Amino acid sequence: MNARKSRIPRIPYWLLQHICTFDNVDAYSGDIEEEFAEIQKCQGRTRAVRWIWFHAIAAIPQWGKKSVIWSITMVKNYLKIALRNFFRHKGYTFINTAGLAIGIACCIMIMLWVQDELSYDRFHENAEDLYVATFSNGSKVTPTALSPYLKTEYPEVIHTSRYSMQGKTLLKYEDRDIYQEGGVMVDPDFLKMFTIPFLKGNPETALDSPDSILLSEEVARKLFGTSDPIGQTLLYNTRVDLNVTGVFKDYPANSHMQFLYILPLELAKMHNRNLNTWEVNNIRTYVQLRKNTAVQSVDAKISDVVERHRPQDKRAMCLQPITRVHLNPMFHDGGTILYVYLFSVLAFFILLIACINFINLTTARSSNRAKEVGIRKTVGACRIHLVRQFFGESLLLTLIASVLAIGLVYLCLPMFNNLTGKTFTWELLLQRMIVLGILGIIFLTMVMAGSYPSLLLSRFQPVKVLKDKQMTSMKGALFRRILVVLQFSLSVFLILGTLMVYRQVHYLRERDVGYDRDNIVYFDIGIRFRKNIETIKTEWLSHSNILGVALTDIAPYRWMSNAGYGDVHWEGKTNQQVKMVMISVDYDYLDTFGLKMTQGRFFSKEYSTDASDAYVVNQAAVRAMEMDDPIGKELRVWDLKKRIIGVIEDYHFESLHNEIIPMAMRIDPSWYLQACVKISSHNIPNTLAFLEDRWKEIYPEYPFEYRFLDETIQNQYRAEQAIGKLVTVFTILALFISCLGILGLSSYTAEQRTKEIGIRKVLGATVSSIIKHISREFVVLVVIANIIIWPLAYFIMNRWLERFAYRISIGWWSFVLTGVGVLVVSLLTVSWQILRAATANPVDSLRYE
Amino acid sequence: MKELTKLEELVMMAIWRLKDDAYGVKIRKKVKEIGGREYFYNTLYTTFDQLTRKGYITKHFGEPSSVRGGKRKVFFHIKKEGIRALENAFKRHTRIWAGIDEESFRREYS
Repeated sequence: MNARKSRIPRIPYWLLQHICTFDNVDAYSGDIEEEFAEIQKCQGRTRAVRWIWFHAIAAIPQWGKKSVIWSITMVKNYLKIALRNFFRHKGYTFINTAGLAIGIACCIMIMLWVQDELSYDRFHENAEDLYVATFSNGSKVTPTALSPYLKTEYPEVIHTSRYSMQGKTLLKYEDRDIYQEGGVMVDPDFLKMFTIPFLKGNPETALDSPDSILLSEEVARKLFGTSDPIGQTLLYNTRVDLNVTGVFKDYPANSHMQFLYILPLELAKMHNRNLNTWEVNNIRTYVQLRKNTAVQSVDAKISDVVERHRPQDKRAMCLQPITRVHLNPMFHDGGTILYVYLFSVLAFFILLIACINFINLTTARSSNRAKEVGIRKTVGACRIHLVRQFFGESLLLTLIASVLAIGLVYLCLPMFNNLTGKTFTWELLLQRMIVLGILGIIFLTMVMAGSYPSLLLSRFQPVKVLKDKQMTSMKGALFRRILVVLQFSLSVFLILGTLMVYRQVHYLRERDVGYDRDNIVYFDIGIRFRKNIETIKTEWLSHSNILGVALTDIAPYRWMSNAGYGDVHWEGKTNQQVKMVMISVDYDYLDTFGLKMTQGRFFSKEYSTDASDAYVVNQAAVRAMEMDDPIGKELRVWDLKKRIIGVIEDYHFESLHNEIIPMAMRIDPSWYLQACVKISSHNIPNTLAFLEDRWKEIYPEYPFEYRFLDETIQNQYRAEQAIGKLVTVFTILALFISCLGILGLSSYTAEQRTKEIGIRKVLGATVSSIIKHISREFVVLVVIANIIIWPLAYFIMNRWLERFAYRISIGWWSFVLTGVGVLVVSLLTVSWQILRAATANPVDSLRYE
Repeated sequence: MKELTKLEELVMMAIWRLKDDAYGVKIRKKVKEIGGREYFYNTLYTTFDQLTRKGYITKHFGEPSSVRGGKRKVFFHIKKEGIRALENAFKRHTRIWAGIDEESFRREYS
């Protein structure tokens, strides 16, 4: 029999050795081996193996009984000791739990936010197979013919639906009417693709007839109160009668699509809209692929689909998963994946800071427990028992902190909602994913906070700790310092980051956009306005407080999403590729917005040719086309060939996220969709009332809806603003937790050095010199933390700022300011405790020697 | 002096009879031989512990051998106190069983 085969089986042997509950383990396992060899020799290996397994399994019950009894006894003892310790040192227990509770609460709230951001559009049953057709430049506005074409030409595509958002529209039922936004026009497939739970009506047929309308619960309640809306007729847009064929549950907020009522797209045909053209991009196209289709293969086939029908548009077409639309940084739809990362990191930092507090306080005060460890070891505790004990203590504290944290979240939820603009509810905390997340956070905290102290404490050697009183308090001092440095580095980093976000957002808001945006009121105008626009303008301008009226297709702020981009040709073009935005303006545009010309002239009524044969371009366009002398040159955008008559100074017609792009203006009254009215700051309500009166004369059935341009522009930076506020709150909390930590450490130091302080005072030291002496230690740590984190912070902030076309310079003063600020705050925290020790009467501290 | 349990008695008797060769394997065999049934090692070693604690037996280490994976044997010996305990047990047994022989049982059956 060869050696390997005759060897003793490892698993039962190991088991036998490790679960015994008596002495003489060596002799015992020796006996087992001896008898095993004997049985193997006489009765064969099978018998022997069976024998040893039998022995091993038979040993389990005895072991189990014994260890359970003992562990219950020990846990009782551990618990008692732990609670005694917590109560004896109430201050430290408070600092530890409060820090952890705040840290965990922050984590939970951030997790709620992150989870919400990631959950966008995932509630659709087919979420994995749904896509939105997107151009390579990120635009989701596609030709109307795309949707039917994709469905008929490509077998992978099961359903398609177009999606067209409607402006505010009047809905009228009997004597009740509401001016309701949030309407969308879609194809019947839409209801099959997306999960929209119906409360009433049949989703299969609800959109089949072109005169149907589906209402959300909310709109149905507004219009019909408690009565049943199904089958009722309501008047849409003052002209069309529609039958209510369904009521659906209010559409969830965590979707990139938002609508309150659904109309069949066929309805648009009644407004003479061409629903099968490749000529213009004006509608979104949603696509559902067959299950398990590789989207890349479809992308490859459809990339040139628009170009095939409209050769001048070279942009590639691709399918973007709807679950990514909300997070994709290409779209400024609000939250982006970058912020999700940012907040996840932030949550981790805060938790880390809280855990460092715990580690520092526990290890610093380890000398208090050293005797206990020594005694436990002398009476027979193994290291693993002590690790278990101290780990259990941190678990206990973490659990208490978690309960507090959940209470905190409950209390702070309304505030948090206010800050984030979301609607988190208490019930959300009971979701499976969230519960798992919370458990994960608790576990992480326990491991981070508990592992090091329990390892350190259990390492004490009984002889040393029982004999020598002082040495243990120095244990881990270096490690503790490193942790404090880490803690403050993180705090400084967070503060610097917050400062930067704030300054950048402020800068964007206040930056000169190159045009006058104050006191400009704008509103949509319709065909009735366009018909006799000149008379209306004259009438408005006769009002003394109306300073100017400009008509255009799109007011300056919203171009990015709405303006059409076109290919451009010009005299002397070589092979530059230039995309240009074209807008339509009227003669008063320049003066109303306070723009400046750099070359040539603006449109003027004195030249009759301006209305048909003139472009005004911006400087960016001139640069892009590399023209030396643009005036008089011919320029063709799309199929419109005109002559350039002037160059306008660059202004930011988009959000400052983006750089100024080439633009051309033309005169075209049929495209006037918005009126921008410059009013004087004097007696604004009166002026607005005047405008409303005039509006009512033309559109008596529509309310007058206006907005101020500067307000709208402020709203563009709302995402950054909200994030900024949120980051600030969490940063302050992080700093607070850090300070709690050094508060604990400093009070411990003061306590430890009571005698030293007493002796110093007896020998003539002043209070101020003592404070200076003791707080120096902390000051040095904070300074080191600053110096370490500055380069890293600089690097990361630079990366963030690169996202913006127009940005602030980082500036050394913000570093210095933050550093000094943190130093002052930490010094104040520390000196409070030290001052108490330093002013104490030395007689008291030195009496017992 | 505490009374011996049946198992303790059995183990002590095995050790006594084995004299200088009383270690695990041999003891187990002896116990089986005189007690009529097999015991697991962990039961026996727990009993050794009990007997040691009661002060009835003591041990000494033998030389390590390769058959035992390099582990030493532990030999057990009965101490004076142990002999006294066995004696007590013996006396008790004789008292309990006094006047009883196999004939007594046979008579009961018939």
